[in-house]
Amino acid sequence: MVSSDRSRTALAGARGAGEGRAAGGPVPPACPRARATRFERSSAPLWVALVFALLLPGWAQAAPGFRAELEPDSVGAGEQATLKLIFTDLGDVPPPTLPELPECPASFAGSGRQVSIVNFERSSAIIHQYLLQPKSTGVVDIPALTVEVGGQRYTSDPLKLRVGQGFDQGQLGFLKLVVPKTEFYVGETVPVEVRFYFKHAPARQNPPKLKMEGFTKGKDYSDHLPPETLGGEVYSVYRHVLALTAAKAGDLELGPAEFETLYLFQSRRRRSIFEDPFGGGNEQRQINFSSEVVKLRVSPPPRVNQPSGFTGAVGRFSLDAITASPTNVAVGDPITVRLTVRGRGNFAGLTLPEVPAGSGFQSYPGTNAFEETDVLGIEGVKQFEQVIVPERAGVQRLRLPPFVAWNPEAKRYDQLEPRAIAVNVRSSATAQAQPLGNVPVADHQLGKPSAPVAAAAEVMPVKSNLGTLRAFTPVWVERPWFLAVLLGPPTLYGGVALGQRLRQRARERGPDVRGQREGALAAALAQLGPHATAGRAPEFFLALNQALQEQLALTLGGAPGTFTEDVVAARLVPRGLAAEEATRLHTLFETLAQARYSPITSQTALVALAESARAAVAALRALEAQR
Amino acid sequence: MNVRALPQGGSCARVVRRWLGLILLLVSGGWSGAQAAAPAEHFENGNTQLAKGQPAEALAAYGQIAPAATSAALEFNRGLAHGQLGQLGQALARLRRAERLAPRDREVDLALRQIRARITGLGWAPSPLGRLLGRLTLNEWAGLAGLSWWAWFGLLLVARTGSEARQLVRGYTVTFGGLAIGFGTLLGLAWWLRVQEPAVIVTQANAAVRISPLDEAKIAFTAHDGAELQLAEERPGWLRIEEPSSGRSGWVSTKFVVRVPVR
Repeated sequence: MVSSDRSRTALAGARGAGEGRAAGGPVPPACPRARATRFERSSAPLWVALVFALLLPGWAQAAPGFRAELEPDSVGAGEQATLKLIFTDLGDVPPPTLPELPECPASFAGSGRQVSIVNFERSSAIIHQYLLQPKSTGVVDIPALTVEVGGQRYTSDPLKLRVGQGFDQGQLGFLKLVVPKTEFYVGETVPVEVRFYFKHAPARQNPPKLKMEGFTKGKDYSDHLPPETLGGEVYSVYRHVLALTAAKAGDLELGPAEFETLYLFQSRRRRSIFEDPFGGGNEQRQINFSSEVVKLRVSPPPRVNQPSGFTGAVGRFSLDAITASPTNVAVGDPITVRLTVRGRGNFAGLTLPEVPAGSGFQSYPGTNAFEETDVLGIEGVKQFEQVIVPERAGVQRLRLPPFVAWNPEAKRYDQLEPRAIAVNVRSSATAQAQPLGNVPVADHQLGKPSAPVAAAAEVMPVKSNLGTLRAFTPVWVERPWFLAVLLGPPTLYGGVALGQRLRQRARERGPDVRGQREGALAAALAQLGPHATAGRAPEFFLALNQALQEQLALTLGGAPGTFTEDVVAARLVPRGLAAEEATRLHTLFETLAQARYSPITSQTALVALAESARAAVAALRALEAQR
Repeated sequence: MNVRALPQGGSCARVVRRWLGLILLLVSGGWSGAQAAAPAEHFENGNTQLAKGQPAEALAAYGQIAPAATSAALEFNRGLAHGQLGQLGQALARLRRAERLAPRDREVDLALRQIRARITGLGWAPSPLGRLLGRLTLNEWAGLAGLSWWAWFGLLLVARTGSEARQLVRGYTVTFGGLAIGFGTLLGLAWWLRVQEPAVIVTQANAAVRISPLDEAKIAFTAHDGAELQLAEERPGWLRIEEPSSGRSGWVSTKFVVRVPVR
């Protein structure tokens, strides 16, 4: 892998004195603006002038004239300045021709008209702009310019353009040309990378331009690579990759690569209120990056031992498949031969070799199609299709000449020899078809065309390994045991799930729970009498409710406290509870409901309720015993 | 105790029987060893005959291998031999049997294509889906479906042991559940396609297909050698077949056809 060194800036030079230009830093350097005029440094004088212009009518009226301005009057290396020639109230003056400036080429950049109204007096100016591109640092003297308009001569003041070193462009980034190797072969296609390492991203950019005399450009693409740390600083990497094919031999140069970018800089100049009423602002600057030149040696593929079928294909290829159809034909019938070549390299130089004369076949011009498998089109699959006509009858061997390609990595000629295809050629279209296929055959196998039937054994390789002998038994899905195997897991799963469910239910309805409920029921019933005789109504009803709920839980299952009066009609009567007992239970539930608001406090009534409760519990027990 | 005493009458008979048994055992062992080596020799002999261009002799040599046992290579070579003899139906049947045994063998696939190309008339060819699913044998599909099925339920059982285990195997359970359903579906599809395949191959030129299973019945149409037909019904000595390309059906004698096992 070869790459150029850190780029040089496009316009480097010594920094001009007294320019006050700053460079570097984590943010893009501010553009030096020593060119700002005193009038521009503060907007206050302008306000004063405006007031005077308003108060003193006629004082600010512009007279016809011509003047030249530089904007800016000091630039850094690689920067441009604009020379403005302003013709005020002189009509349509054509752009004059500038005198020759040897160190600072100028180019006309356009014209504009500016109309201003001062103190109700209108004035019109034509402004012709020229771009000045100084070549070196120092001071560029722009002489006084004289123009003649309407028979009158106007002369501008001479100007000076100061050109300083500018800022260090390397602080923004640098360009690098990456070439995989320095020695190429004519026809070889390689990917070349132009990498832009940058610390600050440009606002806009154009695709890099690469000087590549002696190379032809293929496909290209751009992407971003992971950031790299160089010299302790982290650079983002933009990459532009091109597929280049060496077109001529010799010592060639690749590069330089040039990369035009547009950066936005914070302006240090305080602008006038008319330029930027909010102060501050950015300015755009075009910055060109350039890479080093890479010297390459391009050689033609060697002529020594060069196969005769070499047509300029350079790369690493492999022959994937060859088919012919049909292979059982009459003399003169067309046979379509298809070949597939895949690999990496210059596929354009890969052509289908022609069938040699006297081979018994006549070939016709074929077609091909290339399918790329990478973005640059260097790797892919090329398919060839050719029609071949047999000229004589018999079992013929169709063998195409080999593809020849120069392999630049192995430095040798690769010959991709298609397999021979056996074709049974009948003397006429009515002859009986014979067993043959498009299978590879060895030379010795087809040395003597014999009867087509016998050829079948030759063209199809016989299997020499007997393998394991086994009987044709019914497939598994037809056998009962396979169904059993499939039913096994769900059966097992269902059994386990059922067992778990039963265990859980047994735990819920286990003897301990029932015993606890029996005990709670007995305790509640035992408390009914004492509470009734003592006239303790709240405690009595509490015990009564508990007794009923516990007994219902024992009889019906479920949890105590969940039963209401509805269960009498809904669940107990259907199970055989007598109507008399159902009425008793209804009464007890109603009494319990009434007790929340106006409980019975009579001792006699409570004793009667206790007896009724015991009778109801007995009836429920009897019902439970019937089940 | 006289250990060298001559055996009495009954003991003598026992000794004779023992010796005879031993001899028989040795002989049978040697015979079975010879038998074990025989198939490979017959196979080699058949291959040699085939290479010499003598397919009939090759078939005779292959025929000496135990008829109940076979292999993909044996069926393949038999198919080649039949092909050389012009017996296209027999060749096709053998190659399809070879395909059943070795579905991913490219040579078998190639030979099948060739033999089908040689057979005149509207031939049958497997659908792309059938060709794709045919890359595995039905038993291989069944094995995959069975294994994933067992693994799925095993994971479901593990998940029942507790909430932690359920969380642990949740991803695997979903994966194997999907695999079990997927493989099961593919197995069913492969099985259905396999059953739909023509399993009857005509081995005679112009085999008569009759309107009923009787030799005296009127001929409905004739099937060419190598025609692949679908089996609709089976009766002793007769098969009711259907021609996939035309939909015609009729009865053909089993003497004129061979059947390809489903496998």
